[in-house]
Amino acid sequence: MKNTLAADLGVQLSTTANRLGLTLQGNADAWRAYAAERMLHLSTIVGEAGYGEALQAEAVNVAMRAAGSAVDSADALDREIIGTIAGGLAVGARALAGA
Amino acid sequence: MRHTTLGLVAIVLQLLAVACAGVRARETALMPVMAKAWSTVVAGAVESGVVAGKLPAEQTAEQVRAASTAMQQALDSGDRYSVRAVDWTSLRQVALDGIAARAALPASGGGIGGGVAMSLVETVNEFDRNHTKLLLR
Repeated sequence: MKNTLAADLGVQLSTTANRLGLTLQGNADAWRAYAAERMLHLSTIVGEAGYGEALQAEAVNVAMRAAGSAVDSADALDREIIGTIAGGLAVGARALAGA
Repeated sequence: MRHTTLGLVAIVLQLLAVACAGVRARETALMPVMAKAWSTVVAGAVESGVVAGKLPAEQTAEQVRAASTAMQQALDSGDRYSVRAVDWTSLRQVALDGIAARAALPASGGGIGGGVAMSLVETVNEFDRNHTKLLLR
């Protein structure tokens, strides 16, 4: 029974890891696209009054987007782990009920 | 059966130990970046709004400046509950009005170009999105 439980949890964790990998990749792609978009904007306003301020602003914009993506990924990880725990508890409950 | 139960409990406890990644990411990644955004861009935009007289109803310049300082201190402290205590909605409007006021000034008077103003507004909007995210959990 213990082996079955471990195998079931192993399958769930593997599935979680695969799904999380896709989530992380998706976030990284979105973040890179945002950085490119902001760089393009900067390239169109060279020479404007306060350009230095725009450089600083866009640096923190990209940093904030990256940090926000990290939070999204972490939240996705948490959701997957909670789901795995719930699945594991269900498996355990079934195993214990049949013991 | 007792061993199986204990094993299951151990697995659950191990999983729960790492199931607070979102909170850690907010405190160790998001808040420091938001603090940097505040000190380099948003606080200046708020001050521009105060100087331009774009104050929220029934608030003095001193109160708005105090709220701006409180936000910086809250972000620096890493305490999300302190951030929640600051009225970001009012500060956000003052910041946006401050950017618009500077965009209307001539360059010789401290004014900024339209594209630069867009960058500053994007900072305020990105800060706003992350502010919501910060307080979600």
